[in-house]
Amino acid sequence: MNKIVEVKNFKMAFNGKTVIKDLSFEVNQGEIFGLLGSNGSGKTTTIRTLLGLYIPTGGELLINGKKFNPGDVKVGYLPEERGLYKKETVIDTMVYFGKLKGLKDPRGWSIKYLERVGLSDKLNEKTEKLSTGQQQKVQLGICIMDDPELLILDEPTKGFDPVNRKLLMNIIDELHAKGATIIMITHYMDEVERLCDRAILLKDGVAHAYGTIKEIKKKFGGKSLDEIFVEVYGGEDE
Amino acid sequence: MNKIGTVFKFETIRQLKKPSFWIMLLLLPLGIAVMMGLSALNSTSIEDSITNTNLGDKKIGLTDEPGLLAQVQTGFEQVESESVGREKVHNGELDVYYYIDQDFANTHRVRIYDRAEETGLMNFYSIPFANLLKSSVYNKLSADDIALVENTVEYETVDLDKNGEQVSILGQAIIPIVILSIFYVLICVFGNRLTMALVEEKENRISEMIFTAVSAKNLVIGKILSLIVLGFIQIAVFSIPVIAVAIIYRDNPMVAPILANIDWDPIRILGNICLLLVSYFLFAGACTLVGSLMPTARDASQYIGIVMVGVVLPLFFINNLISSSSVNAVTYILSYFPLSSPIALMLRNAFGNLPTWELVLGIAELGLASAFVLRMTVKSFQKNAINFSVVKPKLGIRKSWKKA
Repeated sequence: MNKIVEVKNFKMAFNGKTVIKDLSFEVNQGEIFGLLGSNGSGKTTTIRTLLGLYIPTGGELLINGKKFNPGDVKVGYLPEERGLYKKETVIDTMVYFGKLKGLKDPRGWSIKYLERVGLSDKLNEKTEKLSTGQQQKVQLGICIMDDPELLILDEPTKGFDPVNRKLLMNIIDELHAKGATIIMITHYMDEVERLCDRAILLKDGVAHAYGTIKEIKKKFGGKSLDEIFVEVYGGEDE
Repeated sequence: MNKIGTVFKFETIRQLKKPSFWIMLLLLPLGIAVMMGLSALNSTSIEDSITNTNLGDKKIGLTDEPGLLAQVQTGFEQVESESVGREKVHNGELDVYYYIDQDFANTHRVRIYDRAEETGLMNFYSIPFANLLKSSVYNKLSADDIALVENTVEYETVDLDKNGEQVSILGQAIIPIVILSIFYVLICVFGNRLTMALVEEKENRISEMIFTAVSAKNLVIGKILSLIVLGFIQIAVFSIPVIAVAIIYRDNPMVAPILANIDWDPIRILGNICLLLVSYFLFAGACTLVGSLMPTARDASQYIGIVMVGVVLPLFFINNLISSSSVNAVTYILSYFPLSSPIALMLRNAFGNLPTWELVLGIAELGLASAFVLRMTVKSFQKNAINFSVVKPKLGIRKSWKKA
């Protein structure tokens, strides 16, 4: 199987404080991979370093065998810290990102997407006028508009009601069916169990478990992922 | 390059669409024009009301004990004493009463009685009476004496340049000073916008998402290019009305003498245009650098004041810059310290106090400083683009230069 992401002996320290000790894992092309861990376990740091936003203290983080460079590979990233240009309209924002991502018809794509997610009446609305959930839909649209090879979703369903959560899951399923590789960071173990092929459990910058969902469950004596999460992170301040 | 173009277009169009851009752009020159107009109108009307006070229809009393106005026909009612005059003003028999006492040679004082409710704070009656007193003196003088006393002698200064040719210092300085003024207005209006441009992605939490589509370097270059073009649009908006007024009203009595006095010195004009361009690049770099380092607009605005102080500092040492006889260490420090350098060099150049080699050196220094600061901005934006909280910013200069 082709590896799209390779993290080799990744180490990270901020102002002398070690955040990631020695982390290695791989994500295969076309799979849905769960990056799991409690707050402060190093998930976001790993993703930011993978995308070149941080320089690693040690090790290598590669996408398609190379350090990430926008344009070399189509990556969609829905970060945990997310926002939009507040004073711009929904359509202007999406068209701008579409152009940056090299879409031939960013306006046409955006209109279709907004219709699908029930925001066609918000086309010319300033993004600051949208609710959190509506903004999140726009952000997701921006992430997936160029059919990314690698889609990284950090807490994608946070703030969504069950209806919109289902809509999001359908979109993820579709992208996966098209061959996209998806890395999901989530606290919802039911989502991991339903969607992910493989996962890694991070705690204090080291991997506590890594493999297929079946392998992880087996390692913890056949417990459910919810139970494993409580066992690994129990007593930590969430 | 294509992505830089996309960022450039997006940033430029959205700034041009903002009403606040045009309000800020037009408000300052409009405000200056309105203030100048009101001030001129106000001073003229006060002056007119004082000088044109018509004493003809007033009931005026006078006690002239030393006989200063003996040779002038005043037509005033002669009053025997100060107390009588005062009483007559009080009871309305007189509108105004002038009292010149016997001891005028020592006191040089004329006392004027009027009714406060009519005059308020304005001293309407002193100027016409002073003119009367002058007339009484002038009657005794020759025309030459009057010219000397009135200081109406015309002193014609002939300034010679190094080649012995006659030059007009002020005339040569007019256009370079206009160019300097454009820079000054530009930084006043645009400083904040420059800074905020790089804080926006951080404040709105867009950085991480946008960096999968465009590199931080291309994003910041696109933004800075857009800001530079917006600056030129501002220069055009400031300059076009001035040029239009100069052309349309070239025969106007107020405009014509100024235009006639302009002495076009291409070296100085070109010098200040070059200084304006590199200075704007430097200023844009300094403001965007602050923006790239700070996580929020509020944090950035605290530091931008320091940049502004550095830029306007030369205006407090203007004498050291416009006169060659006052050149000293301060002149050179202000001329070559990058932030104060733009205004210092433009002032010196405007008044012919900047040798050509210094002009070239200054432009080169500002150009290099701009390139350095803009490079630092790009690197610091790359380092701090996801700095969402108030943490120690990272310049990363050493690493960036090593890599370069």
